[in-house]
Amino acid sequence: MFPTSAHRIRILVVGSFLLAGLVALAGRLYVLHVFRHDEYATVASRMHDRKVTLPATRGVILDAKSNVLAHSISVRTIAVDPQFIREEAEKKLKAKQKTLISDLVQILSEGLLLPKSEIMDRLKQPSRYVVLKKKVSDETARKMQDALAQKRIRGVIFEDEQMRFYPNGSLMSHVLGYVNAGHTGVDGVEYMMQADLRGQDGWRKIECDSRGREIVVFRNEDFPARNGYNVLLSLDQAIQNIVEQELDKAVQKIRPDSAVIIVMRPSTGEILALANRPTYDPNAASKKVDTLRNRAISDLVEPGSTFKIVTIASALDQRIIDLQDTFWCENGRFLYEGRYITDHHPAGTLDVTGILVHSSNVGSVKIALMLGSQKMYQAMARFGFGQRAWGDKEGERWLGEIRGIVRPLRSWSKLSLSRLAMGYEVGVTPLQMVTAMSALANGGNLMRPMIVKRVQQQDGTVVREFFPEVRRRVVDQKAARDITKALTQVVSKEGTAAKAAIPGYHIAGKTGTAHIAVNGQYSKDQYISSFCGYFPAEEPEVCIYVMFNRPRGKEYFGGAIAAPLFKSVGERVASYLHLRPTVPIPPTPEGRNQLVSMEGGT
Amino acid sequence: MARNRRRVDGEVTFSWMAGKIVMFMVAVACLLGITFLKQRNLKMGDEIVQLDRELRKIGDLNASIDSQVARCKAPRELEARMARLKLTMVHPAEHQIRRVAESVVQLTRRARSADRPSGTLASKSQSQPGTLVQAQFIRPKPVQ
Repeated sequence: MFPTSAHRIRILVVGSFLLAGLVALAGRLYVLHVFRHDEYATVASRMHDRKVTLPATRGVILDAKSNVLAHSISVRTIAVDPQFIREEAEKKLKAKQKTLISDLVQILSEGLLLPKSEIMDRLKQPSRYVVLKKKVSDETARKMQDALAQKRIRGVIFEDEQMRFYPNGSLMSHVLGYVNAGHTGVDGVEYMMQADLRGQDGWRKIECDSRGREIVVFRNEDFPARNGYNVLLSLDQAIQNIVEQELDKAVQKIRPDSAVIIVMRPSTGEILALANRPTYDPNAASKKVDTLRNRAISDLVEPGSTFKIVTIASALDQRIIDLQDTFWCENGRFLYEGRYITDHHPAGTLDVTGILVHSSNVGSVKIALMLGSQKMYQAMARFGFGQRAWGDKEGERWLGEIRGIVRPLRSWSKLSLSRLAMGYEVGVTPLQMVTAMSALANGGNLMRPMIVKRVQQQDGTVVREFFPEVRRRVVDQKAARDITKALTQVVSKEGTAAKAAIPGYHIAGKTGTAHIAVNGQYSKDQYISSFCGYFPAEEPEVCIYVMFNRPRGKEYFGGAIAAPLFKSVGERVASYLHLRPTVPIPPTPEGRNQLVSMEGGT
Repeated sequence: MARNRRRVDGEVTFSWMAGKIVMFMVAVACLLGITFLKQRNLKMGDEIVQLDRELRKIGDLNASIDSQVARCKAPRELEARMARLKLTMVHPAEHQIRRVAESVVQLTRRARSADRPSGTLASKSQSQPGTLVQAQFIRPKPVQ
């Protein structure tokens, strides 16, 4: 049966409509796929494609014995979406389930140890994101998540975070520094080694389903994170603990404005311990600004008599004087350029050793006058004063380290040389002073202070290693030997540092008591008291610098307050490092050997 | 022309039918296979995500344990522990504690309240069998 003309018309009409529909559809498809492709592709991509950051874990800071000093742990920030929770609560209320809010508050209150009223207040806030607590431990967060899942409560947000944790609290805080909220080092080793500690974040391109869950089969690019390298320091937490314990005892007694102690290995320049008071706990959320300063590198002090080592060592090095040369010390009162230079212990004729033993200002001024301004200036520069001990190169600097003040020769007055000879008119940092003393201890080489020994991967593979670095020779070996010989007499019964003596060892050192300049004049009752020494004098292993700023109390001389601290620290450090005694140890009343008893044996 | 292409007889043969059924079954099998593979992939994806999560959980737990170890090894903590040990303030070992059931304690307290001399610590020898009233600490022998 063939179609009639009526059928044909109908077929034509329907076909035309279908064709028109198909053409319209094709046109629309063409528009969507060709003209508006980018727009819709972007929308689709925004809905389904995500780039997830895989955060790198910050590296660990270790001490010389690989004890953990700083590491990162995973914590959570707990927040809520009050608006969503209220909507959910209303839905439940309709379904006659009234317990949602009370259950939620109960779980949050128990988990976060917050009062229920406080949580209720925050749930009433007209916001979609209210933080309840930060730095919640992973374990607590998991327990809460389980409890919430059990009760089918939604609207609580758990955000992953990293927290820097310092297991020793305030120990070594000024060396370690701390990190900011963004987990970036802002001070100390955390800042200095930021590039190594930080690591490299990874990323992953993923596709999500309509519920926001990842469709792993469509996982695209996957670039894993590279965790930060571990940094191994030269500091030893046991020595640091000894230093801080003794420093705390001394500070309690002396009550200075501030105190600094540095322990250095003279042969390598390794810093074994460095402590400041006041100090801070890097774990604490808020820190007092005044406690943050690392005074060992950022405080400028006039060193006083400890600086005499520079004057005398340089004169010995230039062969201008010999240890046996004698000087008339004017009975402690010497008129120079219209100003009197006085001694605390007046003396007549003294040899060079005697000048150091009695800390004679007159004697050292006379030696400086023989040395001359030019050579004195050069000596100070050679010893590293007026330069950053750590280094001046960008990227190698210890944040906050200052250069100190050594005025250029052209601006010296007629009195400058006499003032410099006894440690005034010069601004130094404790680190510069201990580095200079270490140079004399090791035979004349000025070492670059060393804090970081190694940068290593988490499995211990060494990435970078730092070696001791000699910056320059400051005096020859003979001069270094001679000054050591003279400095050992300072720590004798006749010397100013008798209280620094440690049984079993020859100690070389120099005390310093400097008046502090206040409003352009030297104060008569404010001092910087210091002692810098090293032992065993024959083959120095440890150089210790102790400084008290504005000590309170009757005693203020370096030999009276800084030297005893040197002794107490030195004794314990010698015991810890098993330093072989170089002189016979006097027997104690119990007839036992002191050093042996210190080591715990019999 | 169209008329010539039309099948005239319209006969449905067995082989034609079988061919169609086989084709249909192959198509269904393919679809099922694809669906199965897709499901398996999705399941594997979920497992990967789950394993990732567990790995992270273990990593976090490790970090937490490391943190605890570091805290225990901190000099101040060690010194505090040493000080406690020097004062012999140690937790008693398990063998030094004799555990008794709560009900027994209550019974015994009632039974002994009348005849126990005041101010004395009950010991095993004083009490009846099975009626110990208090956990007894055994002093360890001094080390020679």
